[in-house]
Amino acid sequence: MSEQAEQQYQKFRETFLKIQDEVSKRIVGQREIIEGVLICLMTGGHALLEGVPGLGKTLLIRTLHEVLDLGFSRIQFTPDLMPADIIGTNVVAEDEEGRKFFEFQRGPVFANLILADEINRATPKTQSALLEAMQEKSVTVAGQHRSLSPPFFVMATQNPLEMEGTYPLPEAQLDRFFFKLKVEYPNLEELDLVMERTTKREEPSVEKVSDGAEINALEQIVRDIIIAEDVRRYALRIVLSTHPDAEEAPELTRKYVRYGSSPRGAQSLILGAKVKAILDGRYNVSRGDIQAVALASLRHRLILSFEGEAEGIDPDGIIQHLLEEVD
Amino acid sequence: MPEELILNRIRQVRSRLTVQRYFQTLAQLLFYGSLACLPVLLVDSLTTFNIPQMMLLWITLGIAVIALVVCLVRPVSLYEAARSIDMGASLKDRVVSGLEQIQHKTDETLTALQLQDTSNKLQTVPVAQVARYTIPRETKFVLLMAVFLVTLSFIEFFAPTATSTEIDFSPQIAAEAEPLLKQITEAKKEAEQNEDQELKEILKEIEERALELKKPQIAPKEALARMTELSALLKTKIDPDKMARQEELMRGLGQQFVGNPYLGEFGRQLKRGDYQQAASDLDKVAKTVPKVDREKRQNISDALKRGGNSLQNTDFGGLGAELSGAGKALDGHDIEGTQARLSKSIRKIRNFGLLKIRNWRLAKLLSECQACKAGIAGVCKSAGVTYALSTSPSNSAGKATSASQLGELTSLDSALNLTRITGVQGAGESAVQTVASSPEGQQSGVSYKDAYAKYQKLSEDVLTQEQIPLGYKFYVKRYFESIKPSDE
Repeated sequence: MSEQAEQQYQKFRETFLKIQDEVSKRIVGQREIIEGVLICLMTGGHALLEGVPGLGKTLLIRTLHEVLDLGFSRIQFTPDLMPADIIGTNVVAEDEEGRKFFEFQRGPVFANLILADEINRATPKTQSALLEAMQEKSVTVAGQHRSLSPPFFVMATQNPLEMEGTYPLPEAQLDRFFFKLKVEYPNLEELDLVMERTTKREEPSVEKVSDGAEINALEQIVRDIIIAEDVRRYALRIVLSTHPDAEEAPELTRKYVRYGSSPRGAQSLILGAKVKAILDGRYNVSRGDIQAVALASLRHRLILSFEGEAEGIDPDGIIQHLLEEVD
Repeated sequence: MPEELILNRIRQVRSRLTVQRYFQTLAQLLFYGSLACLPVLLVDSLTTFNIPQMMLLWITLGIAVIALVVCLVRPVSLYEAARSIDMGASLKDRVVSGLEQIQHKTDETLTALQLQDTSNKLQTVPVAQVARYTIPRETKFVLLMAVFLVTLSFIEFFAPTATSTEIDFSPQIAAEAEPLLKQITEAKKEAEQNEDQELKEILKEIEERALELKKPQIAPKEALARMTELSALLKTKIDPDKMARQEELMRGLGQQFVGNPYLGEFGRQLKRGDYQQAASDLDKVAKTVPKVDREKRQNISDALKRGGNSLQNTDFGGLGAELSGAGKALDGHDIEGTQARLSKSIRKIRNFGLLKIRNWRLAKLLSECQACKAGIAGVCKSAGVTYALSTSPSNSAGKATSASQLGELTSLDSALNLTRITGVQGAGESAVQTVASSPEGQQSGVSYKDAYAKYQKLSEDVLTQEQIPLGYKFYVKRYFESIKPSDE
């Protein structure tokens, strides 16, 4: 029994690394971003990527689709995009005898991998159309409940530079993203490699290394990883210390944070840490694992106060401070 | 079995941590103990306050016991030991998780795998590496203190030529005490003569303490302590202010009788302060009272009543009442009553005389006692370095006086001279506001309407000329609208 379990975890590590390696054939550098996206995928979460245009965000998910052999949809969010454009709508159709009836026309949300490109360009109403899909993994149209086939993974991108004509994501929707990953600009070597790969006739090819069924199976074993009460409480203390009214909150939180992380933040912290533990060859979560995923798990769940906004405080700085303070 | 191995390792580490914690606690307590003792030690070194030599050793032992109790009350838990292994060997919370799995006896699929993984890692980790015995930081300070104390002890107790215990100062101390003892003997004789029982008891107590100075091998510190006690005791027995007040009263009483042909001598003696003689003179008067005629009796009676009344509500209220009573009894031709009252008055005057002598004697003893204390202190001071005693004491101290103790008279004229200073008005402009009527009843002399008109104009200018955010302009306008006079 334990040998079988050991093999499963071994397989998890191998698959994870294979996917990461395959994606890395196209995406130069960004190992942490790829790892973060894969952690989201393996835990059934969704990822929000923030970065300036041209850093390979779209390419990353497109490559992932090629590597995993999963259904892929890309939704380009624009101000005139309507909720029905995402989830689908009932259209009038005719049967063989000429009788008319309503037929559900599936929207792009009915896929395994969804790329919600430039999500902050759509209106909040349209952005909210993804809410039910992301949390419940199902959609309801005209009173009919329709499940989405697993794995269901949304990767949204947003551009931090252009603020004109954008609609910041509502807090409720932000909270539904498992991780928020910041895509940094590549350094000289990486940029050189990008040019090497992208300015030639041939693009690097990738192989399929896994499929939806395997991803679903791997997602299940993540949850079996052991987390000691002490480590779990450490994670919870970090989450509680993001709340300005909590006893654990340090001065920085009280001054600059209006609302702290929701319980989803704690779930994200612990599940992400579990994947980190597997990748490190352990069967238990450590404090180091919690710290490794804290930024990605919590940065989008902190809502800054007026002082925080006015002084240009970065939530990452607050979280780093919390990691140093909380014992 | 991985469980056993994990638990054994955790217990081994716990034992080492317990020892480490004991020494840590001990070092901390010694550190704070040293900090607390330092002022006491300094006081001991600089003053005559003497800490027993073994006291510090007992304090140290007491602290060691307290540290042991603290460690027993707050023992190192298995969890703490597990955490320590995880941190010391970078095992990434494997041991803490493993301990929890063992303690809660969970039967999860991964439990066996996790425990096996943990035990495999633990086998390669030596216990001494994760629970290393380290010297607590506070130890340095404690050691420094110990060195300081040992050095101090050496200087104070063991240095061959610089110790006070090896030199016997008792002959010098006994010599310093000799004049005091002589004074006590004289006082005892006087008390015997005067049959002053109270003084005898006081002297007995003083003599007991003074004789301690003649004990063999008495240390200067102890002798000084005895002298301090003796001075304090004497000060409680003497009240010079009260005595001076009472003597003044007696002189006042004497003045009442000076012109009287029969009580004149009694009054003079009272004024002189010779109370025994005054008592004898009054006794003579008491004896002659039955023999004098009516007119003389009236004269004596009036003088006694007047004198007695002058002492009412004073310290000598009792004496006054007796003298007045004697005068009244004489008025009523009650000779026996008069003599009895005069006899009581005589006793009171004699007692006061004795009290005066006692007071004078005790004051003299106090002065002698302080001189003796100063002499012993001189012995102690000289003992600090060379133990050399002065062989040629000066006899001139306190005998000379300055020619002008209050200094020269000041030449400052204290008469008040008033000078009027007139100024010249400047040529510049000044703002003048003429008020029609003086403001009364807390009301302004300027009408609200005028003031409003002036400042409304100013506010409008500011709103048009200054760069004020659009949003704020509304509020400024609204404010001036709200304070507009109602009659407009």
